Amino acid sequence: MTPLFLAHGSAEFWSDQTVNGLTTGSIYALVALGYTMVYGILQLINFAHGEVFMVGAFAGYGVLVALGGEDISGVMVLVAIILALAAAGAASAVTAATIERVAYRPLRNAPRLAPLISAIGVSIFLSHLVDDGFLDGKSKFYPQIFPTGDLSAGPLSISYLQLFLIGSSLVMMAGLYWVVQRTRTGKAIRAVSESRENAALMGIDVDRMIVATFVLGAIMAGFGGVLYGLFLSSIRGSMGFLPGVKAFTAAVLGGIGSIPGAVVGGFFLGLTESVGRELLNEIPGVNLPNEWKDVVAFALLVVVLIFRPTGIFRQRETKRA
Amino acid sequence: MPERGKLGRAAIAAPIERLRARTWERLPDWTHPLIWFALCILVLVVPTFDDIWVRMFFLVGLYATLGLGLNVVVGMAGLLDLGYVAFFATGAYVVGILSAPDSPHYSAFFSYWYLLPMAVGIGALVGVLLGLPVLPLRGDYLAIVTLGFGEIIRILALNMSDQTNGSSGLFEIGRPDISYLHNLGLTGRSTVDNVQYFYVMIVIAAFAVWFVTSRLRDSRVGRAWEAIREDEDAARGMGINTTRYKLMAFSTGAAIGALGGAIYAPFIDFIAPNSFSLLVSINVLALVIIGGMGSTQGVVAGSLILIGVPELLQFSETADVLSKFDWVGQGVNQVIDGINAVTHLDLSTLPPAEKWGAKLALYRFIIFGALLVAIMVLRPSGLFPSRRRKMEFEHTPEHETAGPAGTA
Amino acid sequence: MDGARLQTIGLGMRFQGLTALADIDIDVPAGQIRGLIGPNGAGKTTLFNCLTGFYRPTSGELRLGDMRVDGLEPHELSALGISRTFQNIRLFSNMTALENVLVGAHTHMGDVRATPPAAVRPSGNRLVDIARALPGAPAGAYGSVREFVGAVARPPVVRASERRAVGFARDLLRTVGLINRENEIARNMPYGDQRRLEIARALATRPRLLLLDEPTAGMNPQESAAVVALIRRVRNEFGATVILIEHQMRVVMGVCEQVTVLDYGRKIAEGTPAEVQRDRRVVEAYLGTRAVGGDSHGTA
Repeated sequence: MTPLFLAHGSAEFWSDQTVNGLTTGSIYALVALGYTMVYGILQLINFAHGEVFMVGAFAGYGVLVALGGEDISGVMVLVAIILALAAAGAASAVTAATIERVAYRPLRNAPRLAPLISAIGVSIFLSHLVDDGFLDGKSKFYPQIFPTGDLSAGPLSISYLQLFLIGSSLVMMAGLYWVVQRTRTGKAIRAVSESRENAALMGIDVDRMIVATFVLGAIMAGFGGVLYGLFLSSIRGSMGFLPGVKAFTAAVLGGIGSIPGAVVGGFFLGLTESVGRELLNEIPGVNLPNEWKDVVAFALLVVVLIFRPTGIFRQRETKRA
Repeated sequence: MPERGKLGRAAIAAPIERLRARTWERLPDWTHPLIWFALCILVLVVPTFDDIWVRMFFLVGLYATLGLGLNVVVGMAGLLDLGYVAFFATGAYVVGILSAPDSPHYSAFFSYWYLLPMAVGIGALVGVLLGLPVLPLRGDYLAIVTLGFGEIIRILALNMSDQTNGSSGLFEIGRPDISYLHNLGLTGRSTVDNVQYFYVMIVIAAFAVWFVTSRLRDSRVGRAWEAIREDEDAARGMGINTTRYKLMAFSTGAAIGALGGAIYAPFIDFIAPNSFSLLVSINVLALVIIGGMGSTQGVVAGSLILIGVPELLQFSETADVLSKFDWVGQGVNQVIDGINAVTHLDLSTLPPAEKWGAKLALYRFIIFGALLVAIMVLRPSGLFPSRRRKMEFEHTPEHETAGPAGTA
Repeated sequence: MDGARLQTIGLGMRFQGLTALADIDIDVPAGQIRGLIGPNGAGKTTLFNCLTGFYRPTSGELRLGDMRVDGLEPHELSALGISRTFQNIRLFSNMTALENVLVGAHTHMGDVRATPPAAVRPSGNRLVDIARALPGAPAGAYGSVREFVGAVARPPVVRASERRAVGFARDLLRTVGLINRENEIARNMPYGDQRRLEIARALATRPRLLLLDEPTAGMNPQESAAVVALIRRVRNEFGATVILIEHQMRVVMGVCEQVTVLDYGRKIAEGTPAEVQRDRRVVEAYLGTRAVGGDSHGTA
C-alpha cells in the first residue's frame, strides 16, 4: 500500500494477507475466550478446550449433512448455518460441562498438576475417540455451500465467506461481552473470578458459576469450530490441537484472564502469522513460507513471555510472577 | 463456609492419601530385594528371547530411560514439560544428520561414539535455550511453551529439508562401532546392529541414567529441586536461585531425552519428522505419572504397562492365545444378536478373538486418555508413588492469591 | 554472623491504585529486636514482602548495612543475610525436618557460592537487565555444571560440605528443641513444632536480619514463652537483628526493645513498648475510632 512494502508483492497481496490474518484471527479469538475465562476463574489451562472446539465442528457438520449437505442452497444456506452454529454451541457446551464435572471438579483442591494432567487425558480421549473410534483415521469434509464470490474495492478484496467469518465472530464476541458485563450470571462469574471465597459468602453458587464459565467458553469454541469447518473444510478428531495451542497463545498475548485481551490477542496472532510473517520476509535473507507460520507464532509467544509476561496489552504488575 | 468444607475434605482425604502412598512400602520389606532380583534376572535373560520380545524390551528400556529423565523435570523439580519429544528428536537428528550417508551434512569423521556425547550436549543446550525465557515464569506457561515447542520441532524437521531431508527422512543411520571390544574378543560383532546388542546398550544407558538421577536427588541440587516443587516462594526466600535450579533440572531432563534419541536413531535406522509426534511426549509423561512420580520402580512399572502391553497385543503369539477365548466372544455375540433381534437395534458384534489384541492396540490411546483421567481422579499419586514424594506442583492457589496483588 | 542495620527510606508499595504502604521510614540498628505491630490490614506482611524481595517496592529505598538492596530478588537478599518466616507456615511439607533446615543452609554449602556477591539492582528495563546479565552467564553456567558434576561424582569436598551442613542443621534443630524429630515429615509435625522448624530453617541461612511473621500465632502461653526465650537466644547467640510482627502484647512487651506501629500502610508511632502503648493514635488504631475493615487476613 505504501512504497515501504513494494519490495515484494502488490497492494492486493498485502490486503489479502490482512484479510487472511483477520479470518484465522477471528477463529483464534473465539477459542481463546474459553481459555481465558476458565483460566480467570480456576487458574487452570483447560487442555481439552481444543477438543471442545472439535466437537462443535463435528456437531455443525452433522447438522449440515442432515439438512442435505452440498444440496443446500438459497436462503436455506443461512438457515442451515444458523442451525449448525446452534447445534455446535449446544454440543460443545454439553461436552465442556461434562468434562468439568468428571475430570476437573473432583480435583478442585488437588495439587495443581493433577487437573492439568486430567485435562490432557480428556484431550487425548476425545481426539482419539473420534479419530480411531469413529472415523478410522479419515477426515470428514464440510459441504461447500457458502456462496462464492468476492467483495472488492480497489486493492481490497474479501470473499463472502471471510466477510461472514469475521463479521459473525465479532457479533458472537460482542454477545459474550454483553453476557459477562450485563447479565446476573456474568456478574456472578466475574465475582467468582475475583475471589471464590468472597463470592460464596455473598451467596453465589460457585460450582454453578464455574460450569457457566465452561459453558460460555465452550459455546464460543463450538461456533469457532463451525466457522473453521466452513473455511478449511477438512475436519478430524485431532483438529483441535493446534488451534487450541494457538488460541492459548493468543490468550497469553492479550493477558490471560482478560476477555477483551483474548479477542485482541487472537486477531493479533492471526495477523502476525500472515502479515507479520510476510513483513519479516521483507528483511533481506529471511524466507519464511506459509508452513512456518506456527514457528512464527511460537517465537512471538516466547518473545512476549520474556519481555511482557503479563501480555502485550496489559500493564505490568508489580508483583513478580 | 467453603473453608470448613475444604478442611473437612482434607481431614478425610489425608489418611486415605497416606494409605495409598504406601503401595510399595506396604509390601513386606523382604519382598523388595526379591522383586529387584527378579527384575535383574529378567533383564539378563531377555536377550535369549525371540527378536520381537527383545525389541519390545528394548522399547520398554528406552522409555524407562526417557521416563527417568523426564522424572527429574516433572517429579523432582515439579515442572510440567509437555514437549519432551523435542529433546528426543534433537538427539536422534544430531546423530542422523551427521551419520546418515544421504544426509547433506554426512561426515565420515564422526563415529557414533563422538556423536552420542555431542547429542547429549546439544540436547542440554537446547534445554537451556528453551528454558531460559520461560522458567522464571509460572509453571503453566512452561507447559504450553513446551507443548508448542514439541510441535515446532517436528515442523522444523519437516521444513528444514536442506538439513533434515524433510519428510523423506534419513536412512541408514550410523551404528555404534564396537570393533575395539570385538578385537578383545568380548563381543561377537564389531558393530551394534542387532536387537540384542541394542538391548544391552539401552540397559547400560538406563542404569547410567538411574545412577546419575538418583545421585542428583540425594544432593544439594536435588534438595533445591524438591524445595522448589514444594513451595517455590519459600525456596527463593531460603536463598535458592530458583531460575537457575529449574534450568538445571530442565536441561538435565533434556540431555537424557537426547541420549534416548541418540540410541533410538541407529536402532530404528530411519528417522523422519513423523516419528516425533506429540504422542511420544504424552507417552513418557504418562508413564512417569501412572508409575508414580519421583520413583524409579514406578517409571519401570509404567513403561512395562504403557509400552510393553500395547506391543504385546500386536504379537501373533497374543493372537494365538486370544483365539483360545473365541468361545467368550461367540457367547457375547449371541447375546448381542439376541438383543438385536428383540429391539431391532443394530449393535455391532465383536470381531474374532484373535483380533482383540490388534483392536485394543488401535484403541489404546482412547483407553489411555480415559485411564489418565481415572488415575488422576481416583489415585492422584500414581500407582507406585515414591516414599512420601507426592505428585505435586506445590503452588497451591492459597499461596498464589495471598497478598493484595492477588485481587487481579 | 553479626546483625545488620536496616533502613527504609520513604518506602512505598502500590498495587494498581491501591496504596498498601506509603512513606515508611524505619531505622533498625544492628542487633536490635524490633516489634512491628498494627491492626489487620495495616501493611505489616506487605512490608516484610518488600524487605525480602517478594514485592518490589514502588518507591523509596531499602538499605541493609551500607548497601542499597531494594529491587533485588529474594534469593539475592537471602544471600545478603535477610531471612524470614511466614505468617501461614510455609515449610517444604513433604520433606523431613532435617531436610527443611538443610535447604535453609543451601547458600552456605557446596564449593560454589550460589549467588555472586555483587548482586545488581535491576534497571527496570528488561533488555538492559538481560544485557547486563550476559557477561555473568558463562560463570553461572560453569558453576552449574560444576555443581552437577559434584552432585553426581560426590568428590570428598562435596561429601565434607554435606557432612558439615548436616552437623550445622542438627545444631539448629537442637537449638529450637527438635533434634529428636529430625526425620519427621514436616506436614506431620504439630503446629508449634512447625513454627519452630521454620525459625530453624530461617536461621540456617545465617541471617544478619531475621524477620519473623507472627511466630507465636495460635500458640498457648507456655509455647509463646518458649518462643520468646528462643528469639532472645537467637539474638544473643547469633547476633542477628530481629524484626517481628506480633499480635500478642505480652510477647511484644517481653521481647521487643523498640516497637513500630503501622496503620493503613503508614507508620503512626515508634518507640519503646511502654511509650507506644500510651500513644493516643495507637490506641485509636486498635480500638477503632474508625470502623474496622472486613478484610480479616491476607494482606495483614
